[in-house]
Amino acid sequence: MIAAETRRIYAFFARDMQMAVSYPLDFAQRIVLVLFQIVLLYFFSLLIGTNPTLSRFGGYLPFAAIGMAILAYFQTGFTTFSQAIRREQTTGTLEAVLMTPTSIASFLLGSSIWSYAWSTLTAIIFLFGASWLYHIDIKGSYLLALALLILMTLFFASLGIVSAAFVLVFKRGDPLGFFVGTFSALLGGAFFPIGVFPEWLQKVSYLIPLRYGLDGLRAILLEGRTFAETWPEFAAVTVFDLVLVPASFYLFYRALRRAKREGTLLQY
Amino acid sequence: MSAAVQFTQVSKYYSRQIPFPFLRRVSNEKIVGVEDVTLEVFSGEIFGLVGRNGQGKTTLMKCLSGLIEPSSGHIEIFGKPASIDNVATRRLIGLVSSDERSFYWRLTGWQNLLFFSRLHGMNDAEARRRIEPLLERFQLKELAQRRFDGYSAGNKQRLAIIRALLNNPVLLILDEPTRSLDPIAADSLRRLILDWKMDDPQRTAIITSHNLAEIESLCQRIGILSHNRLRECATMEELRLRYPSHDQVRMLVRDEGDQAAFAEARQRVPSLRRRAIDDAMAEYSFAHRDGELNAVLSCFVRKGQEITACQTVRVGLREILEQVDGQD
Repeated sequence: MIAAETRRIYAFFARDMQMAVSYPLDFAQRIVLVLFQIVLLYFFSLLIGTNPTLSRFGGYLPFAAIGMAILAYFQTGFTTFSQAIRREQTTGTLEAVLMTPTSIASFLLGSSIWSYAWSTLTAIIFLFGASWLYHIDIKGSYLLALALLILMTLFFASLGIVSAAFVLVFKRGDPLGFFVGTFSALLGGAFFPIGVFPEWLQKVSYLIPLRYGLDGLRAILLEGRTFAETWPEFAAVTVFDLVLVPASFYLFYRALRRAKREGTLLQY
Repeated sequence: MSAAVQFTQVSKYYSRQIPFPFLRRVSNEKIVGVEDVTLEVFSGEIFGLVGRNGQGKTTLMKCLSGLIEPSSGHIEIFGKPASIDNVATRRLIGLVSSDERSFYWRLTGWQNLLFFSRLHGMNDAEARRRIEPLLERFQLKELAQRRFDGYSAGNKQRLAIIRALLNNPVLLILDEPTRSLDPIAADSLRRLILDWKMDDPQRTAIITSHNLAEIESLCQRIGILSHNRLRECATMEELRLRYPSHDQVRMLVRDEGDQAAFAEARQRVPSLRRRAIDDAMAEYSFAHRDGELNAVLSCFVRKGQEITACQTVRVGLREILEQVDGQD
């Protein structure tokens, strides 16, 4: 049973990898883009100079490098499920996939795994490329950072599943993706420290889960903080996960059922 | 005979969607997909479903495969409820749709089949053992490493059938399987379906098609959908008995242009028609009813006209379909 489910998830991964490799220029372009972003970020950091709010992170470059790497994860989690559904609908393969004994959970997980692998690769290139080129001092526990990243990934994925539910019902146009994605990127502290916002906007940012994740990761990786010092961030992200993960699956099943009832499952 | 598929009072209505800024609104007006279909398809049978466009053939097939939920009624496949949530029934079904886009065009035929085999839970060795004989049987082995976008329509459809057979299904659902195929490719595909069926007498297939000759030649029983309801469900022979008036008799007669026998025969058989082929020969045709063949023949024989050929052209599914449609 577990072996069969693993094979199913691997099937999606292998398929997506084969498809990505079949577009070699696009593949190379994506790598070049990451390197380009590192250089861009470096010149931004020169422009910004030494800002007192960023000194504990070692400057703007380390601060933004983590923000950008995690934002890529966030965007992957957010878009990968809805894109997977829409791609299967537009290529006409959704019917064939759903006719196999693949569970919805395996379908969603499998469809996203290549995008996550790609995001992990780009995040690693981003973080290690930036730290190697510009001597960023990463001093914290990688394991602790990984644990927080996994918790954040669950949260990102559950938002992505809700977004996919919108695609099943509305086909195009995902208001949740638009608002949460845009506000999270802006208010979550990916590009700027929360402290630069007006006070009322800083209060709003407490509602953005990305904020806790980024705060925690920066504290672990750039300031060398331990779990005892970062547990509030872990707790906040876990609470969001406990609410959103089951809620997202519930909403997705509701949307799937509705699409089947209305006969619009394969429409796009 | 045990039932492979049982439709019980299945209806499917669609809602009309109203374009509305930012929101999706649904009107109360219902569009009928199919209405009150009760049907039993027996195990080991090839069953055909025909009807004009929009009569609900595809809706019924999608309900059967669980991709659409019926508005009312229920469907069972070998005694289990048909639903996409029911993994047990999905293991029993192979679906061949007429949509040739249902593969990943950037992947090869082999990669596509391997992907779907893995989704069926097979490991790579099992998949290889399953795919290779099917590729050989469907004459696609040479093309397996070619990308799908390089396949002809016929080969795409063959690959779709191979995919449907990967899990060794006992029920094959074929929704217009030969729609985009040339006559030779279509004929070859029909032979392959019959061969597949011959391998195991319990295998069951349900086929929808607009090619009525195909349905006549392949299927043991035929269901006719008209006005979104199942109007007929019988063997071709039974349908011919129910709609007997359209059997035609055609005769070639050397009448040398003399129409005296024709005039006499026409008084007794009003449906008799004459079409001159040349100065000497004419083709006569009339609806075949009890006693009328004798009456017509005796007129021509009495006048000394030579009947060079005579055949009964049996009523086809097309004529029956027209009659069924015309009943409402």
